[in-house]
Amino acid sequence: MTRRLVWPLVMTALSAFLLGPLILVVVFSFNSNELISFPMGGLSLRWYHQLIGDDAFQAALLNSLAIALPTAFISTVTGALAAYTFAEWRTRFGLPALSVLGLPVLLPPLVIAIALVVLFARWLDLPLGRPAVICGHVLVTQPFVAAVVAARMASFDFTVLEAARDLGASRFQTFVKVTLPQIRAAIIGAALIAFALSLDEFIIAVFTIGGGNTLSTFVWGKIKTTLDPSINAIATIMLAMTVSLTLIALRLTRYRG
Amino acid sequence: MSEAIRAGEAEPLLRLSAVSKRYGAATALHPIDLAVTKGSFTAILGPSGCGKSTLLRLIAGFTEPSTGSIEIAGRDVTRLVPEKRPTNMVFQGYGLFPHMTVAENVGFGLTIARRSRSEIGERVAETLALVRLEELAGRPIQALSGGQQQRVALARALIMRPLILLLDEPLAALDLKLRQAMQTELRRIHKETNGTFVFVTHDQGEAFSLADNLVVMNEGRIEQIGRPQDVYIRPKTLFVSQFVGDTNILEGTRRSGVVELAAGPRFASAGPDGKVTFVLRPETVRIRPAQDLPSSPIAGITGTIEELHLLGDGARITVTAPEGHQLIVRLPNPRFGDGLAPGIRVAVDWADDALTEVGAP
Repeated sequence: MTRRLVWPLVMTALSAFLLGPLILVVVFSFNSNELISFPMGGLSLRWYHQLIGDDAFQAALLNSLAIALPTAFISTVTGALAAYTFAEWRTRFGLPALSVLGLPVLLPPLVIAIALVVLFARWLDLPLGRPAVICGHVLVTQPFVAAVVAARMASFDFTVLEAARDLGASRFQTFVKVTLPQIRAAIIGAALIAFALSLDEFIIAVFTIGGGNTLSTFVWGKIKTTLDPSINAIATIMLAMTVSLTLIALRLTRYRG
Repeated sequence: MSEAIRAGEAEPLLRLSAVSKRYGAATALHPIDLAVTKGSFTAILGPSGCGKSTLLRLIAGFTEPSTGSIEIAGRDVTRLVPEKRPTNMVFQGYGLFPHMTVAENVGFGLTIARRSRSEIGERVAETLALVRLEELAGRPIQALSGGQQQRVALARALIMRPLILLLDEPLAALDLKLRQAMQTELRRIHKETNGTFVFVTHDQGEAFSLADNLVVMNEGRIEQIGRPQDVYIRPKTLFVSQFVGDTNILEGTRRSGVVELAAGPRFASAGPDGKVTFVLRPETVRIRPAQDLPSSPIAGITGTIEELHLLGDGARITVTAPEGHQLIVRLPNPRFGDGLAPGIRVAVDWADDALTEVGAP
């Protein structure tokens, strides 16, 4: 009897531990009180209003989007091309090549961040800023894109490409009319994942952004100075964005064409 | 005008001259010559790895030959990309577009060629009728059975009205019943479209039931080209005789026009002196119990029945001669009263023209 109760209890405790803080953040973001504590005041959008009026937040949001969009675009193009090419080789070199591409995921982000700072500031003598952050983010998001696309390519029938050529299609027409429609969902899903990862990323951003903030470094700065409930609002916004993006991505990539 | 047409008929539709293919140090295809006439149904038959698929891919343009040239309807297509060649292919795995319907698959080639919507619609309907798939036009590919997918692949290639239709093991993925039905269909479509078909297979039954021109390949070389019945009755090489049907191999020596087989019989046969190899089809061998023998010696062999298998439509008998030589005999219609049973002493012989001399292995 007791044994049967142990696991449900452990699971409940774990869930509460994992999800509790998240729920609190969301709940407090709608709290009208000045302090993040119980008892709660009334329900209000006060902190969201305050955020939208805050220039620093706007700048951080703009920075984050100006980083996440190019990151998603670049890493989707390079990651998808790499995965496609490795799959097209259809040899035993494909998988090792993909693994090498995935190495940045295994490296601590701190190491990547420091390496980028050294590269930009010391060697290339370029200023830090958005391009540096984008470089770092492409490095860590591209493997995810490649993995998603490679998974799709595993069930891709390459005979269709020869069939299309045989029926008069050029290489380009074959890609547009035969290849792309079949792997489009995986590519869009991969792009959304890359976008969400870039939006969330903190360590590389904080090292290489130079001046200014992204959403994550903005929150970090705020936490250090004031415990302003508006950080709950930012956290809730980011949570909603990443969760919905990831859900869409998961739905899309589960598509079997 | 009429002369030009006659000249066109004399020219083969497809001509391969000294075409070979090497992959690094490995030779997939030794230099071969091959001509295919318009309206023929050619089977390229051989075991897996014999280079037959390479040959088909060379004709389609997916592979460039290492040497030689390929001509279709008098035009050199050796360096032409597949999309520019007047050939279309039915792929072994079909290679249907999974994101399109049946009609979209069949109409793909015409869509690429920017034909009008109405023309595409008409020709798709016409071609689907030819392969008897009219009702399935709107279905997605995944909803089709293997046999139906096969027909879609066929329709998708036929709609292009290719000068030569290439088929790569077209029936390999189908079960026996479906395969036989599709063979009938292919013959009908070949006749109705008046087309030139070249297909690759490792199944000799398929090759014999479909083709009017047989190309037997082995280890990257063409062993024999001819009408299927000629190849069967008069195999040129030991390989052909063994790959195409059951066979008996009889070795012997020729001295000044007389051959003496190791198994015994002697007979006159012109040719150079030395070791010779003859093949003998099991169904051309005559067999009877030894006690019925006339007193005069016969041209054949006497021995003992080792095994007798009833096959339903005939019997397969293994006869062992005293020296250990074995001979396989096929009887189309065994009569059980004629005294043939394992252990019985029998005499076997054959008509003079049943023996075919083949080149050394």
